[in-house]
Amino acid sequence: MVLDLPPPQKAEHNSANERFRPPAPITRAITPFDPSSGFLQTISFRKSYLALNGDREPMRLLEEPKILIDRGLNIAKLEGWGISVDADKLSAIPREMARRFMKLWQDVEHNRLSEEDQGNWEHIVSTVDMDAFYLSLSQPRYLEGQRAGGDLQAHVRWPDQDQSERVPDKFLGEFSLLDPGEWFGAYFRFDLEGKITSVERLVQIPPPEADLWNEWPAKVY
Amino acid sequence: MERVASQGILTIDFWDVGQGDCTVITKPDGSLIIIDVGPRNSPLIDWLRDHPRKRISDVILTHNDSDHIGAIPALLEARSVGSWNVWLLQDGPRTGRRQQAVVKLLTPLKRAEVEGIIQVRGITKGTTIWTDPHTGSYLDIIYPSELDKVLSHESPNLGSAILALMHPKGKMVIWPGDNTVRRTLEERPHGMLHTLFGPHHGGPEDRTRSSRKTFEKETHEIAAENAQISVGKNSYDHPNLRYLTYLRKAGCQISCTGLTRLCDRRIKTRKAGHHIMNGSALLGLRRTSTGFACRGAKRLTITSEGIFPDKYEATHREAVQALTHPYCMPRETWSKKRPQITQPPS
Repeated sequence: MVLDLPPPQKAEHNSANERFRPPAPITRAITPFDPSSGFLQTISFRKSYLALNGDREPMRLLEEPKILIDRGLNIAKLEGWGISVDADKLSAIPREMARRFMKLWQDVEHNRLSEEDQGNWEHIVSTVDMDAFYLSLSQPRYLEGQRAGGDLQAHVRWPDQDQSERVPDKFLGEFSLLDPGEWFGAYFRFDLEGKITSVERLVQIPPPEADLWNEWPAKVY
Repeated sequence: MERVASQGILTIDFWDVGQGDCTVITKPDGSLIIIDVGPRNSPLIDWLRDHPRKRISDVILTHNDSDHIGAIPALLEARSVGSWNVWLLQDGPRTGRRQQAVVKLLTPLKRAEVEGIIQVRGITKGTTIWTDPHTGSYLDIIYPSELDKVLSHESPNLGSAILALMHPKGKMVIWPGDNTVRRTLEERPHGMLHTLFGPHHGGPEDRTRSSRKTFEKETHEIAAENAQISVGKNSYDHPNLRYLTYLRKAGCQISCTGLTRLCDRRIKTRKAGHHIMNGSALLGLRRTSTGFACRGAKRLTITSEGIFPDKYEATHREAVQALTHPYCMPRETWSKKRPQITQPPS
Protein backbone atom coordinates (compact mmCIF):
# COMPACT_ATOMS: atom_id res chain seq x y z
CA MET A 1 0.00 0.00 0.00
CA VAL A 2 1.23 3.47 -0.78
CA LEU A 3 0.89 6.17 1.82
CA ASP A 4 1.86 9.77 1.70
CA LEU A 5 3.43 11.23 4.79
CA PRO A 6 2.85 14.98 5.06
CA PRO A 7 5.88 17.11 5.94
CA PRO A 8 6.10 18.06 9.61
CA GLN A 9 4.38 21.36 10.38
CA LYS A 10 5.58 23.78 12.97
CA ALA A 11 2.89 24.69 15.47
CA GLU A 12 2.21 28.37 15.79
CA HIS A 13 -0.03 30.02 18.33
CA ASN A 14 -2.07 32.54 16.47
CA SER A 15 -5.69 32.82 15.72
CA ALA A 16 -5.24 32.24 11.99
CA ASN A 17 -4.34 28.60 12.71
CA GLU A 18 -7.72 27.96 14.22
CA ARG A 19 -9.51 28.68 10.97
CA PHE A 20 -10.21 25.91 8.53
CA ARG A 21 -7.45 25.29 6.03
CA PRO A 22 -7.97 23.13 2.97
CA PRO A 23 -5.38 20.33 2.48
CA ALA A 24 -2.35 21.34 0.47
CA PRO A 25 -2.57 20.26 -3.17
CA ILE A 26 -0.31 17.40 -4.16
CA THR A 27 0.73 19.09 -7.36
CA ARG A 28 2.02 22.51 -8.29
CA ALA A 29 1.98 24.04 -11.75
CA ILE A 30 5.37 24.83 -13.23
CA THR A 31 4.09 26.00 -16.60
CA PRO A 32 0.55 27.23 -17.17
CA PHE A 33 -1.81 25.33 -19.39
CA ASP A 34 -1.47 26.80 -22.87
CA PRO A 35 -3.34 25.33 -25.87
CA SER A 36 -0.85 26.96 -28.26
CA SER A 37 1.99 24.82 -26.85
CA GLY A 38 0.38 21.62 -28.07
CA PHE A 39 -1.88 21.13 -25.04
CA LEU A 40 1.18 20.42 -22.87
CA GLN A 41 1.56 21.37 -19.25
CA THR A 42 4.27 20.64 -16.68
CA ILE A 43 3.46 20.29 -13.03
CA SER A 44 5.57 19.17 -10.10
CA PHE A 45 4.48 16.40 -7.83
CA ARG A 46 4.66 17.64 -4.25
CA LYS A 47 5.65 14.44 -2.49
CA SER A 48 8.65 13.98 -0.29
CA TYR A 49 8.05 10.40 0.88
CA LEU A 50 6.59 7.29 -0.64
CA ALA A 51 6.11 4.31 1.60
CA LEU A 52 6.89 0.78 0.48
CA ASN A 53 5.93 -2.44 2.23
CA GLY A 54 3.40 -0.88 4.57
CA ASP A 55 5.52 2.12 5.50
CA ARG A 56 8.38 -0.02 6.80
CA GLU A 57 10.68 1.07 3.99
CA PRO A 58 10.31 4.78 3.30
CA MET A 59 11.44 6.06 -0.06
CA ARG A 60 12.53 9.66 0.36
CA LEU A 61 12.48 11.78 -2.75
CA LEU A 62 15.36 14.21 -3.05
CA GLU A 63 13.46 16.48 -5.43
CA GLU A 64 9.92 16.95 -6.61
CA PRO A 65 9.19 14.76 -9.65
CA LYS A 66 7.86 16.55 -12.72
CA ILE A 67 4.70 15.43 -14.49
CA LEU A 68 4.24 16.27 -18.15
CA ILE A 69 0.55 16.39 -19.06
CA ASP A 70 -0.66 16.16 -22.61
CA ARG A 71 -4.22 17.48 -22.44
CA GLY A 72 -4.77 16.62 -26.09
CA LEU A 73 -4.08 12.91 -25.58
CA ASN A 74 -5.16 12.98 -21.90
CA ILE A 75 -1.89 11.37 -20.79
CA ALA A 76 0.34 12.27 -17.86
CA LYS A 77 3.98 11.14 -17.89
CA LEU A 78 6.31 11.19 -14.90
CA GLU A 79 9.59 12.59 -16.17
CA GLY A 80 12.46 10.12 -16.00
CA TRP A 81 10.46 7.31 -14.40
CA GLY A 82 8.92 5.69 -17.48
CA ILE A 83 5.41 5.99 -16.02
CA SER A 84 2.31 7.08 -17.94
CA VAL A 85 -1.21 7.37 -16.50
CA ASP A 86 -4.45 8.97 -17.61
CA ALA A 87 -4.30 12.70 -17.03
CA ASP A 88 -7.43 12.54 -14.87
CA LYS A 89 -5.94 9.85 -12.61
CA LEU A 90 -2.97 11.67 -11.12
CA SER A 91 -3.72 10.17 -7.73
CA ALA A 92 -2.51 6.81 -9.10
CA ILE A 93 1.02 8.16 -9.55
CA PRO A 94 2.38 7.40 -6.03
CA ARG A 95 1.41 3.75 -6.38
CA GLU A 96 2.88 3.57 -9.86
CA MET A 97 6.10 5.16 -8.63
CA ALA A 98 6.43 2.62 -5.86
CA ARG A 99 5.72 -0.24 -8.26
CA ARG A 100 8.20 1.06 -10.81
CA PHE A 101 10.87 1.55 -8.17
CA MET A 102 10.44 -1.96 -6.80
CA LYS A 103 10.58 -3.52 -10.26
CA LEU A 104 13.69 -1.69 -11.43
CA TRP A 105 15.42 -2.18 -8.09
CA GLN A 106 14.88 -5.93 -8.23
CA ASP A 107 15.98 -6.01 -11.88
CA VAL A 108 19.25 -4.23 -11.12
CA GLU A 109 19.88 -6.30 -7.97
CA HIS A 110 19.61 -9.48 -10.05
CA ASN A 111 21.53 -8.07 -12.99
CA ARG A 112 18.66 -8.25 -15.47
CA LEU A 113 17.99 -4.55 -16.05
CA SER A 114 17.13 -3.97 -19.70
CA GLU A 115 18.74 -1.27 -21.84
CA GLU A 116 15.38 0.55 -22.07
CA ASP A 117 15.04 0.75 -18.29
CA GLN A 118 18.65 1.79 -17.73
CA GLY A 119 17.96 5.51 -18.19
CA ASN A 120 14.98 5.39 -15.85
CA TRP A 121 17.01 3.67 -13.14
CA GLU A 122 19.79 6.28 -13.43
CA HIS A 123 17.21 9.02 -12.99
CA ILE A 124 15.59 7.26 -10.03
CA VAL A 125 18.93 6.71 -8.26
CA SER A 126 19.70 10.42 -8.53
CA THR A 127 16.29 11.49 -7.18
CA VAL A 128 15.66 8.92 -4.41
CA ASP A 129 17.60 8.75 -1.14
CA MET A 130 18.95 5.24 -1.66
CA ASP A 131 21.00 5.33 1.56
CA ALA A 132 17.88 5.75 3.68
CA PHE A 133 16.10 3.06 1.69
CA TYR A 134 18.89 0.52 2.11
CA LEU A 135 19.21 1.38 5.79
CA SER A 136 15.53 0.58 6.29
CA LEU A 137 16.09 -2.78 4.57
CA SER A 138 19.09 -3.76 6.65
CA GLN A 139 18.66 -6.38 9.30
CA PRO A 140 20.12 -6.14 12.81
CA ARG A 141 23.80 -6.99 12.68
CA TYR A 142 25.60 -9.25 15.16
CA LEU A 143 28.54 -7.50 16.76
CA GLU A 144 30.81 -8.15 19.68
CA GLY A 145 32.22 -5.50 21.96
CA GLN A 146 33.23 -4.56 25.45
CA ARG A 147 31.11 -2.67 27.97
CA ALA A 148 32.74 0.48 29.28
CA GLY A 149 31.58 3.43 31.37
CA GLY A 150 29.95 3.52 34.81
CA ASP A 151 26.55 2.45 36.14
CA LEU A 152 24.70 5.55 34.99
CA GLN A 153 26.10 5.61 31.47
CA ALA A 154 26.90 2.78 29.13
CA HIS A 155 29.74 2.99 26.67
CA VAL A 156 30.71 0.42 24.09
CA ARG A 157 34.25 -0.21 22.96
CA TRP A 158 34.32 -1.96 19.61
CA PRO A 159 37.35 -4.15 18.89
CA ASP A 160 38.29 -2.03 15.86
CA GLN A 161 38.04 1.35 17.56
CA ASP A 162 40.32 3.02 20.04
CA GLN A 163 37.62 5.35 21.38
CA SER A 164 34.55 4.09 23.21
CA GLU A 165 31.11 5.13 22.02
CA ARG A 166 28.30 6.21 24.30
CA VAL A 167 25.15 4.12 24.08
CA PRO A 168 21.87 6.08 24.10
CA ASP A 169 20.28 6.06 27.56
CA LYS A 170 17.23 4.15 26.35
CA PHE A 171 19.44 1.06 25.99
CA LEU A 172 20.93 1.38 29.47
CA GLY A 173 18.62 -1.41 30.63
CA GLU A 174 20.14 -3.94 28.24
CA PHE A 175 23.67 -2.99 29.24
CA SER A 176 22.96 -2.80 32.97
CA LEU A 177 23.34 -6.60 33.19
CA LEU A 178 27.00 -6.26 32.24
CA ASP A 179 29.78 -4.97 34.41
CA PRO A 180 32.23 -2.51 32.90
CA GLY A 181 34.97 -4.42 31.10
CA GLU A 182 32.84 -7.45 30.25
CA TRP A 183 32.45 -8.61 26.64
CA PHE A 184 29.10 -9.03 24.93
CA GLY A 185 27.54 -10.07 21.66
CA ALA A 186 24.29 -8.51 20.42
CA TYR A 187 22.32 -7.56 17.32
CA PHE A 188 22.56 -3.85 16.54
CA ARG A 189 20.95 -1.39 14.16
CA PHE A 190 22.51 1.92 13.22
CA ASP A 191 21.28 5.17 11.68
CA LEU A 192 22.75 7.07 8.74
CA GLU A 193 25.40 8.59 11.02
CA GLY A 194 26.41 5.22 12.41
CA LYS A 195 24.74 5.77 15.82
CA ILE A 196 23.05 2.85 17.59
CA THR A 197 19.27 2.79 17.11
CA SER A 198 18.41 -0.65 18.48
CA VAL A 199 19.97 -3.41 20.58
CA GLU A 200 18.56 -6.94 20.62
CA ARG A 201 19.47 -10.31 22.15
CA LEU A 202 22.43 -9.09 24.16
CA VAL A 203 24.46 -11.88 25.74
CA GLN A 204 27.65 -12.00 27.70
CA ILE A 205 30.57 -13.71 25.97
CA PRO A 206 34.03 -14.69 27.19
CA PRO A 207 36.89 -12.24 26.65
CA PRO A 208 39.39 -12.82 23.84
CA GLU A 209 41.56 -15.73 24.80
CA ALA A 210 45.15 -15.13 23.87
CA ASP A 211 45.99 -18.79 24.66
CA LEU A 212 43.70 -19.90 21.86
CA TRP A 213 46.03 -18.25 19.39
CA ASN A 214 49.27 -19.85 20.38
CA GLU A 215 48.94 -22.37 17.58
CA TRP A 216 47.24 -20.09 15.07
CA PRO A 217 46.65 -20.66 12.20
CA ALA A 218 45.63 -24.20 13.04
CA LYS A 219 45.43 -25.72 9.58
CA VAL A 220 47.42 -24.04 6.90
CA TYR A 221 47.62 -26.18 3.79
CA MET B 1 20.04 -18.24 -12.72
CA GLU B 2 21.15 -14.69 -13.21
CA ARG B 3 22.33 -13.25 -16.47
CA VAL B 4 25.96 -12.90 -15.44
CA ALA B 5 26.24 -16.59 -14.70
CA SER B 6 24.46 -17.71 -17.85
CA GLN B 7 26.73 -15.68 -20.13
CA GLY B 8 29.87 -17.32 -18.75
CA ILE B 9 31.57 -14.03 -17.93
CA LEU B 10 33.39 -12.85 -14.89
CA THR B 11 32.64 -9.64 -12.98
CA ILE B 12 34.69 -7.75 -10.44
CA ASP B 13 32.81 -5.35 -8.16
CA PHE B 14 34.85 -2.84 -6.20
CA TRP B 15 32.49 -2.02 -3.34
CA ASP B 16 32.05 1.33 -1.64
CA VAL B 17 32.46 0.38 2.03
CA GLY B 18 33.65 3.78 3.25
CA GLN B 19 37.16 3.79 4.70
CA GLY B 20 37.99 0.17 3.98
CA ASP B 21 38.47 -2.33 1.20
CA CYS B 22 36.09 -4.87 -0.27
CA THR B 23 35.99 -6.53 -3.69
CA VAL B 24 33.63 -9.25 -4.87
CA ILE B 25 34.50 -11.40 -7.87
CA THR B 26 31.49 -13.22 -9.31
CA LYS B 27 32.62 -16.34 -11.11
CA PRO B 28 30.84 -17.66 -14.20
CA ASP B 29 29.10 -20.30 -12.05
CA GLY B 30 27.70 -17.55 -9.80
CA SER B 31 29.87 -18.27 -6.75
CA LEU B 32 31.87 -15.50 -5.13
CA ILE B 33 35.46 -14.74 -4.27
CA ILE B 34 35.66 -11.92 -1.74
CA ILE B 35 38.90 -9.97 -1.38
CA ASP B 36 38.73 -8.18 2.00
CA VAL B 37 35.34 -7.81 3.64
CA GLY B 38 35.49 -4.17 4.73
CA PRO B 39 34.95 -2.59 8.15
CA ARG B 40 32.42 -3.50 10.87
CA ASN B 41 29.51 -1.75 9.08
CA SER B 42 30.31 -3.25 5.67
CA PRO B 43 27.22 -3.17 3.41
CA LEU B 44 28.35 -6.48 1.90
CA ILE B 45 26.73 -8.33 4.82
CA ASP B 46 23.25 -6.94 4.13
CA TRP B 47 23.65 -7.71 0.44
CA LEU B 48 24.66 -11.31 1.16
CA ARG B 49 21.67 -11.75 3.47
CA ASP B 50 19.37 -10.53 0.70
CA HIS B 51 20.99 -12.94 -1.78
CA PRO B 52 20.98 -16.21 0.12
CA ARG B 53 21.67 -18.26 -3.00
CA LYS B 54 25.01 -16.60 -3.60
CA ARG B 55 27.62 -19.13 -2.62
CA ILE B 56 30.99 -18.02 -1.29
CA SER B 57 33.94 -20.08 -2.45
CA ASP B 58 36.86 -18.05 -1.10
CA VAL B 59 37.47 -15.11 1.21
CA ILE B 60 40.92 -13.57 0.94
CA LEU B 61 42.12 -11.20 3.65
CA THR B 62 45.08 -9.18 2.41
CA HIS B 63 46.09 -8.31 5.97
CA ASN B 64 44.55 -8.13 9.42
CA ASP B 65 43.58 -4.47 9.81
CA SER B 66 40.03 -3.77 10.95
CA ASP B 67 39.12 -1.81 7.79
CA HIS B 68 39.81 -5.00 5.82
CA ILE B 69 38.57 -7.73 8.19
CA GLY B 70 36.15 -5.83 10.47
CA ALA B 71 33.06 -7.51 9.03
CA ILE B 72 34.35 -11.08 9.46
CA PRO B 73 32.23 -11.86 12.59
CA ALA B 74 29.09 -10.57 10.85
CA LEU B 75 29.95 -12.46 7.66
CA LEU B 76 30.28 -15.72 9.56
CA GLU B 77 26.97 -15.05 11.28
CA ALA B 78 25.30 -14.32 7.91
CA ARG B 79 26.82 -17.38 6.20
CA SER B 80 26.99 -19.98 8.96
CA VAL B 81 26.44 -22.91 6.61
CA GLY B 82 28.42 -24.10 3.63
CA SER B 83 32.09 -24.64 3.24
CA TRP B 84 34.49 -22.00 2.02
CA ASN B 85 38.14 -21.18 2.12
CA VAL B 86 39.54 -18.28 4.09
CA TRP B 87 42.97 -17.15 2.97
CA LEU B 88 44.81 -15.53 5.85
CA LEU B 89 48.08 -13.76 6.28
CA GLN B 90 50.16 -14.18 9.39
CA ASP B 91 51.31 -10.57 9.33
CA GLY B 92 53.49 -8.40 11.51
CA PRO B 93 53.25 -8.52 15.30
CA ARG B 94 50.95 -6.06 17.00
CA THR B 95 50.78 -5.04 20.59
CA GLY B 96 48.15 -3.91 23.08
CA ARG B 97 44.72 -2.95 21.78
CA ARG B 98 45.63 -3.60 18.15
CA GLN B 99 46.51 -7.19 18.92
CA GLN B 100 43.36 -7.53 21.01
CA ALA B 101 41.31 -6.23 18.06
CA VAL B 102 42.82 -8.81 15.69
CA VAL B 103 42.20 -11.60 18.19
CA LYS B 104 38.62 -10.51 18.77
CA LEU B 105 37.83 -10.12 15.08
CA LEU B 106 39.37 -13.43 14.08
CA THR B 107 38.15 -15.56 17.00
CA PRO B 108 34.86 -16.33 15.14
CA LEU B 109 37.03 -17.74 12.33
CA LYS B 110 38.66 -20.08 14.78
CA ARG B 111 35.25 -21.30 15.97
CA ALA B 112 34.06 -21.71 12.37
CA GLU B 113 37.17 -23.69 11.51
CA VAL B 114 36.57 -26.04 14.41
CA GLU B 115 32.95 -26.49 13.29
CA GLY B 116 34.09 -27.26 9.74
CA ILE B 117 32.39 -24.24 8.11
CA ILE B 118 35.64 -22.84 6.77
CA GLN B 119 39.07 -24.08 5.84
CA VAL B 120 41.87 -21.69 6.69
CA ARG B 121 44.66 -21.43 4.15
CA GLY B 122 47.84 -19.43 4.32
CA ILE B 123 48.66 -16.70 1.83
CA THR B 124 51.98 -17.39 0.13
CA LYS B 125 53.48 -16.09 -3.08
CA GLY B 126 53.10 -18.38 -6.05
CA THR B 127 49.70 -19.78 -5.06
CA THR B 128 46.99 -19.70 -7.71
CA ILE B 129 43.69 -19.30 -5.88
CA TRP B 130 41.45 -19.87 -8.85
CA THR B 131 41.59 -20.34 -12.63
CA ASP B 132 38.64 -19.53 -14.87
CA PRO B 133 38.32 -22.08 -17.69
CA HIS B 134 35.97 -19.79 -19.66
CA THR B 135 38.08 -16.65 -19.93
CA GLY B 136 41.46 -18.17 -19.12
CA SER B 137 41.96 -15.67 -16.28
CA TYR B 138 43.57 -16.68 -13.02
CA LEU B 139 43.94 -15.14 -9.57
CA ASP B 140 47.44 -15.32 -8.16
CA ILE B 141 49.14 -14.34 -4.92
CA ILE B 142 52.24 -12.39 -5.92
CA TYR B 143 53.43 -11.30 -2.47
CA PRO B 144 54.59 -12.21 0.20
CA SER B 145 56.79 -15.28 0.11
CA GLU B 146 57.58 -17.12 3.33
CA LEU B 147 60.80 -15.13 3.61
CA ASP B 148 59.00 -11.83 2.96
CA LYS B 149 56.69 -12.57 5.90
CA VAL B 150 59.69 -12.69 8.19
CA LEU B 151 61.38 -9.65 6.68
CA SER B 152 58.33 -7.37 6.54
CA HIS B 153 57.57 -7.39 10.24
CA GLU B 154 58.29 -3.68 10.49
CA SER B 155 54.66 -2.78 9.84
CA PRO B 156 51.52 -4.85 9.08
CA ASN B 157 50.83 -2.63 6.05
CA LEU B 158 54.20 -3.45 4.51
CA GLY B 159 53.50 -7.14 4.85
CA SER B 160 50.12 -6.85 3.18
CA ALA B 161 49.41 -9.48 0.53
CA ILE B 162 49.35 -8.46 -3.14
CA LEU B 163 46.98 -10.26 -5.51
CA ALA B 164 46.82 -10.16 -9.28
CA LEU B 165 44.09 -11.33 -11.61
CA MET B 166 45.76 -12.13 -14.91
CA HIS B 167 43.97 -12.13 -18.24
CA PRO B 168 45.41 -14.27 -21.07
CA LYS B 169 45.59 -11.22 -23.34
CA GLY B 170 48.26 -9.72 -21.10
CA LYS B 171 46.17 -7.38 -18.95
CA MET B 172 45.80 -7.58 -15.21
CA VAL B 173 44.05 -6.20 -12.15
CA ILE B 174 46.10 -5.80 -8.97
CA TRP B 175 45.02 -5.58 -5.32
CA PRO B 176 48.02 -4.40 -3.28
CA GLY B 177 46.03 -4.12 -0.02
CA ASP B 178 47.81 -1.52 2.10
CA ASN B 179 51.24 -2.27 0.67
CA THR B 180 53.39 0.25 -1.16
CA VAL B 181 53.63 1.31 -4.80
CA ARG B 182 57.28 0.29 -4.78
CA ARG B 183 56.54 -3.26 -3.61
CA THR B 184 53.73 -3.57 -6.16
CA LEU B 185 56.06 -2.38 -8.89
CA GLU B 186 58.73 -4.89 -7.86
CA GLU B 187 56.35 -7.82 -7.70
CA ARG B 188 53.95 -7.16 -10.55
CA PRO B 189 54.02 -9.63 -13.42
CA HIS B 190 54.72 -8.52 -16.98
CA GLY B 191 51.77 -7.10 -18.88
CA MET B 192 49.51 -4.08 -18.91
CA LEU B 193 48.02 -3.03 -15.60
CA HIS B 194 44.36 -2.36 -16.33
CA THR B 195 43.27 -1.45 -12.81
CA LEU B 196 45.20 -0.81 -9.64
CA PHE B 197 43.14 -0.96 -6.46
CA GLY B 198 44.49 1.67 -4.07
CA PRO B 199 46.92 0.99 -2.51
CA HIS B 200 46.23 2.01 1.11
CA HIS B 201 43.13 4.06 0.27
CA GLY B 202 45.14 6.34 -1.98
CA GLY B 203 47.74 7.11 0.67
CA PRO B 204 50.54 4.57 0.11
CA GLU B 205 53.34 4.60 2.63
CA ASP B 206 55.77 5.55 -0.15
CA ARG B 207 54.84 9.15 0.55
CA THR B 208 56.78 9.02 3.80
CA ARG B 209 59.32 6.31 2.96
CA SER B 210 60.49 7.50 -0.48
CA SER B 211 61.66 10.83 -1.78
CA ARG B 212 59.16 12.78 -3.89
CA LYS B 213 61.17 12.11 -7.00
CA THR B 214 61.32 8.35 -6.40
CA PHE B 215 57.64 8.22 -5.48
CA GLU B 216 56.70 10.00 -8.69
CA LYS B 217 59.03 7.83 -10.77
CA GLU B 218 57.66 4.60 -9.33
CA THR B 219 54.05 5.72 -9.70
CA HIS B 220 54.82 6.51 -13.31
CA GLU B 221 56.57 3.19 -13.89
CA ILE B 222 53.74 1.11 -12.55
CA ALA B 223 51.75 2.45 -15.53
CA ALA B 224 48.24 1.77 -14.29
CA GLU B 225 45.54 2.61 -16.82
CA ASN B 226 42.91 2.96 -14.08
CA ALA B 227 43.09 3.36 -10.33
CA GLN B 228 40.17 2.62 -8.06
CA ILE B 229 40.63 4.15 -4.64
CA SER B 230 38.44 3.11 -1.74
CA VAL B 231 38.14 6.08 0.52
CA GLY B 232 35.60 7.34 2.99
CA LYS B 233 35.44 9.77 5.86
CA ASN B 234 38.86 9.54 7.53
CA SER B 235 41.36 11.43 9.61
CA TYR B 236 44.45 10.21 7.74
CA ASP B 237 44.20 12.61 4.78
CA HIS B 238 43.40 9.78 2.39
CA PRO B 239 43.67 9.98 -0.52
CA ASN B 240 47.05 11.64 -0.74
CA LEU B 241 47.12 14.61 -3.11
CA ARG B 242 50.63 13.93 -4.30
CA TYR B 243 49.80 10.34 -5.16
CA LEU B 244 46.69 11.39 -7.10
CA THR B 245 48.68 13.99 -8.99
CA TYR B 246 51.44 11.52 -9.89
CA LEU B 247 48.89 8.96 -11.04
CA ARG B 248 47.10 11.53 -13.17
CA LYS B 249 50.35 12.77 -14.70
CA ALA B 250 51.15 9.16 -15.61
CA GLY B 251 47.93 9.06 -17.63
CA CYS B 252 45.89 7.04 -15.15
CA GLN B 253 42.10 7.42 -14.89
CA ILE B 254 41.36 7.81 -11.18
CA SER B 255 38.10 7.19 -9.41
CA CYS B 256 37.49 7.27 -5.67
CA THR B 257 34.55 5.56 -4.02
CA GLY B 258 33.87 8.37 -1.56
CA LEU B 259 33.99 12.13 -1.53
CA THR B 260 36.30 13.91 0.89
CA ARG B 261 36.83 17.53 1.85
CA LEU B 262 39.96 17.43 -0.24
CA CYS B 263 38.03 17.43 -3.49
CA ASP B 264 34.94 19.31 -2.40
CA ARG B 265 35.53 22.19 -0.03
CA ARG B 266 31.77 22.70 0.19
CA ILE B 267 31.11 19.18 1.47
CA LYS B 268 29.69 20.44 4.76
CA THR B 269 26.86 22.18 2.95
CA ARG B 270 25.98 19.10 0.90
CA LYS B 271 22.57 17.66 1.70
CA ALA B 272 22.13 14.03 2.76
CA GLY B 273 21.66 11.63 -0.13
CA HIS B 274 23.05 14.02 -2.77
CA HIS B 275 26.02 12.01 -4.05
CA ILE B 276 28.26 12.92 -6.95
CA MET B 277 27.44 9.52 -8.42
CA ASN B 278 26.00 6.58 -6.54
CA GLY B 279 27.67 3.80 -8.48
CA SER B 280 26.64 1.25 -5.88
CA ALA B 281 22.91 1.80 -6.41
CA LEU B 282 23.37 1.99 -10.18
CA LEU B 283 25.01 -1.44 -10.17
CA GLY B 284 22.57 -3.02 -7.72
CA LEU B 285 25.05 -3.08 -4.84
CA ARG B 286 24.93 -1.41 -1.44
CA ARG B 287 27.11 1.28 0.03
CA THR B 288 27.98 2.36 3.51
CA SER B 289 25.33 4.80 4.69
CA THR B 290 27.71 7.47 5.98
CA GLY B 291 29.32 10.20 3.89
CA PHE B 292 28.92 10.87 0.21
CA ALA B 293 29.79 8.74 -2.79
CA CYS B 294 31.95 10.22 -5.54
CA ARG B 295 32.16 7.25 -7.93
CA GLY B 296 30.74 4.70 -5.52
CA ALA B 297 31.17 1.13 -6.57
CA LYS B 298 32.73 0.17 -9.88
CA ARG B 299 32.37 -2.97 -11.96
CA LEU B 300 34.77 -4.62 -14.37
CA THR B 301 33.54 -7.29 -16.73
CA ILE B 302 35.99 -9.89 -17.96
CA THR B 303 35.40 -11.98 -21.03
CA SER B 304 37.79 -13.95 -23.19
CA GLU B 305 38.16 -10.74 -25.26
CA GLY B 306 39.49 -8.57 -22.45
CA ILE B 307 38.68 -6.46 -19.39
CA PHE B 308 35.91 -3.88 -19.73
CA PRO B 309 34.77 -1.14 -17.31
CA ASP B 310 31.11 -0.41 -16.63
CA LYS B 311 29.26 2.26 -18.60
CA TYR B 312 29.41 4.98 -15.95
CA GLU B 313 32.98 6.19 -16.47
CA ALA B 314 31.97 9.12 -18.68
CA THR B 315 29.05 10.01 -16.39
CA HIS B 316 31.44 10.21 -13.45
CA ARG B 317 33.94 12.37 -15.35
CA GLU B 318 31.14 14.78 -16.12
CA ALA B 319 29.76 14.75 -12.58
CA VAL B 320 33.09 15.60 -10.88
CA GLN B 321 33.22 18.87 -12.81
CA ALA B 322 30.87 20.22 -10.16
CA LEU B 323 33.53 19.80 -7.45
CA THR B 324 35.76 22.61 -6.28
CA HIS B 325 39.02 20.58 -6.50
CA PRO B 326 38.56 17.41 -8.57
CA TYR B 327 42.09 16.03 -8.27
CA CYS B 328 41.24 13.14 -10.59
CA MET B 329 41.03 15.69 -13.43
CA PRO B 330 43.72 17.95 -14.90
CA ARG B 331 43.79 21.36 -13.25
CA GLU B 332 43.05 23.08 -16.54
CA THR B 333 39.60 21.52 -16.55
CA TRP B 334 38.66 22.65 -13.04
CA SER B 335 35.75 24.98 -12.90
CA LYS B 336 36.80 28.60 -12.95
CA LYS B 337 33.58 29.67 -11.32
CA ARG B 338 34.29 31.56 -8.16
CA PRO B 339 31.94 33.74 -6.12
CA GLN B 340 31.65 37.11 -7.84
CA ILE B 341 32.53 40.03 -5.61
CA THR B 342 30.66 43.08 -6.73
CA GLN B 343 32.63 46.29 -6.40
CA PRO B 344 30.76 49.22 -4.89
CA PRO B 345 30.36 52.10 -7.36
CA SER B 346 33.12 54.66 -7.00
